[in-house]
Amino acid sequence: MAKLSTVLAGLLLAAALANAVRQPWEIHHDFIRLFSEMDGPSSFDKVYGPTRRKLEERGLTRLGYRTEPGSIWLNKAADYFLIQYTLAPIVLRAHTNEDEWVLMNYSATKEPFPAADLIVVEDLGNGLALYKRPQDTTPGIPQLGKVWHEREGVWMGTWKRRGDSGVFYAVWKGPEGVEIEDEVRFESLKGQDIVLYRKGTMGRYRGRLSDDGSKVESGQAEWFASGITWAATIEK
Amino acid sequence: MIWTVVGAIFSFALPAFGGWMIVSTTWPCGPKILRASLGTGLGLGVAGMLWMLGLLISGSAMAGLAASDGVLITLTALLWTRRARIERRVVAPPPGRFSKLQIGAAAGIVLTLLFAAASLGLMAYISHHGDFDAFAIWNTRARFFYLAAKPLDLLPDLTSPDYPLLLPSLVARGWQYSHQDTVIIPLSLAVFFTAGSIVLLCGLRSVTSSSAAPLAGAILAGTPFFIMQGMSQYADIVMCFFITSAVTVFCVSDFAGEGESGYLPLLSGLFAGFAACTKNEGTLVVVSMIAARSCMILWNRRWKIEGIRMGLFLAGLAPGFLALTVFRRVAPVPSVLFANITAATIRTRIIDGARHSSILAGYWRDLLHFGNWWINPLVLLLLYVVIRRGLKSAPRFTTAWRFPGLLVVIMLCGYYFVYLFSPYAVVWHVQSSFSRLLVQLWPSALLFWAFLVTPEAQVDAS
Repeated sequence: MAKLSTVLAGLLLAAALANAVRQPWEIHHDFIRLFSEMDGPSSFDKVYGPTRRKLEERGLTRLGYRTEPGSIWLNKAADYFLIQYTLAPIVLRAHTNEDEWVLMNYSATKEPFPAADLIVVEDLGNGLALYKRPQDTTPGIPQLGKVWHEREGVWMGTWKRRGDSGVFYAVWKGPEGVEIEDEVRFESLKGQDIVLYRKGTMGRYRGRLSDDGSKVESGQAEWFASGITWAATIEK
Repeated sequence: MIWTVVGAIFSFALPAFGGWMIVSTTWPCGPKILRASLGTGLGLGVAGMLWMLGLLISGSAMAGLAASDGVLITLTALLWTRRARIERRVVAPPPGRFSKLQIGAAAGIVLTLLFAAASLGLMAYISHHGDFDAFAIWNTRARFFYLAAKPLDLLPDLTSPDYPLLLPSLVARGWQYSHQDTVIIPLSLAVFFTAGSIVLLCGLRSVTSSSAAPLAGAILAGTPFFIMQGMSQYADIVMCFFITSAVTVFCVSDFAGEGESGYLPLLSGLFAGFAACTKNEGTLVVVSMIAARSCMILWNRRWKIEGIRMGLFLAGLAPGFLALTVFRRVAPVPSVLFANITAATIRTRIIDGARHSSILAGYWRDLLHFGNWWINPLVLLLLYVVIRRGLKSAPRFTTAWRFPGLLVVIMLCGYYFVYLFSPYAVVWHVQSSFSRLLVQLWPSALLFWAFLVTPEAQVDAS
């Protein structure tokens, strides 16, 4: 038995040695080609270094980041992280439409494309362009407040108003922590009757502001099933 | 280039020397190899944690540097002037000549370590920026901290903003010394934490005189996934080093008894605190260590001495806990995993059989294959324990295996519950993370194995 334990120790050492001996060859075969073919941070640094300087010259520290419409984020994530790494300390915010300035990655379409809510300011080259949201033409409406705490069925929404504009960045939390984002735009206010347009559902919320303008109760929306209403309290 | 390298060397020198002084003060009779690897890791942990704390409190990277290096210099100077002249006990080599078997085994271990070093070098050469998480999370944060005028303003916009900041703080601190965001700093850290974990296991030979310790080190060096993760500059290997260090020093304290090794639980607490400041699962490490030590108190029934050790451990934990608390207050981001959990979710998940099977299937698959081994050593490790402990002439074995064994089991249970209540698709969540969590625990599991086959007569750290 004592000999057997010595033999086992020898086998363990042999296994460790075999694994260690094989690894450099595996790395050489599997990874050298992979890494040499892959665009890594070094090549991104060379390509996008000048872009960072151009953005810094404009005094930009925080931008939105978008890709062509219809693209799948998972396929674009690696590029985003490499570009973010290269452009740091400029922050690229990928999952929000809140920012006035937007860095558009148009590498898939080969040339900057028109975006509904943005205008092209500068083609920065290498598949990136700087876009800007035009000043919102909706005049400041004090009744809209700053933040709406909204509820529709099981969904709890938070609508944050973008500056003095009529546009809200909205997030809803549902059961099991599911979260969705969308944009809500103010359309009209006649007396106390208010209408807002939701971009993602392409439908309108209609409701009646309370006399003190602090809430909306029992509102309707075009896509709601019968019996469902929405309500909101308005934070000034 | 030369000044960049000089800066990088200086950025390591102070933490290494300061850490050496702290470890030498708390464990004056410890072997040099362990004091060196533990000391360097401790110094880097202290530097990263204080830099992070300085940044969080003041909002400035320069204040971070002043906090980390100011405290390290003061502490080092204080310990240097008060250092005791202790007659070092020389660990004499075993008397007589080495047998051919022993020489062969030593040669095998050295060869294994050399090939592991070759793998480290090759990975550093072909992928010096590391893999995805390195540039997507850790080094990008470091760049923000190093380059931005107001780094704290950017915290909410970072990817995974709930991740603690010790590692990026350490990288940014190194860049401050080098005066540029050179890849030398994260690469050197990756090499140290990977090689340091192996050295820790092999170095236990000097306190246990058991051949199992270097064998465990060789098995770790022969784990391809461990080497790859380390050189990918992922935070998992940094975590792995801190966990291994925390467990190692507490184990040494267990078999050393009272005396000059009495303050080792304090060091263990410090390392556990660093783990909590590195990744979110570090908090689970801390909770698991406290649970494992509580079990040890009940098991050993030496209330007073175990109570004192637990107190020292908690005292060591305090700085890390403080830094983490400040981070959570400055960046109050709800936990992605637990923010939306409700009593109803808990009830549903507990009775969800399909979810349990998915997690268990993932556990089974990854527990067997996480190392990406060519020759899987797990069965051999198990057989060796059975044979060694089953020998008729088997000596009395040390009980130092209890703590690492308990910790690994509690951690695995903890991960199980995290997956059970995770908001993500469970199959994807287990598949994408469990092997990396296992690699954090792998050296501790090997430590557990080494102590299982180490006779009591061979452990002595007094």
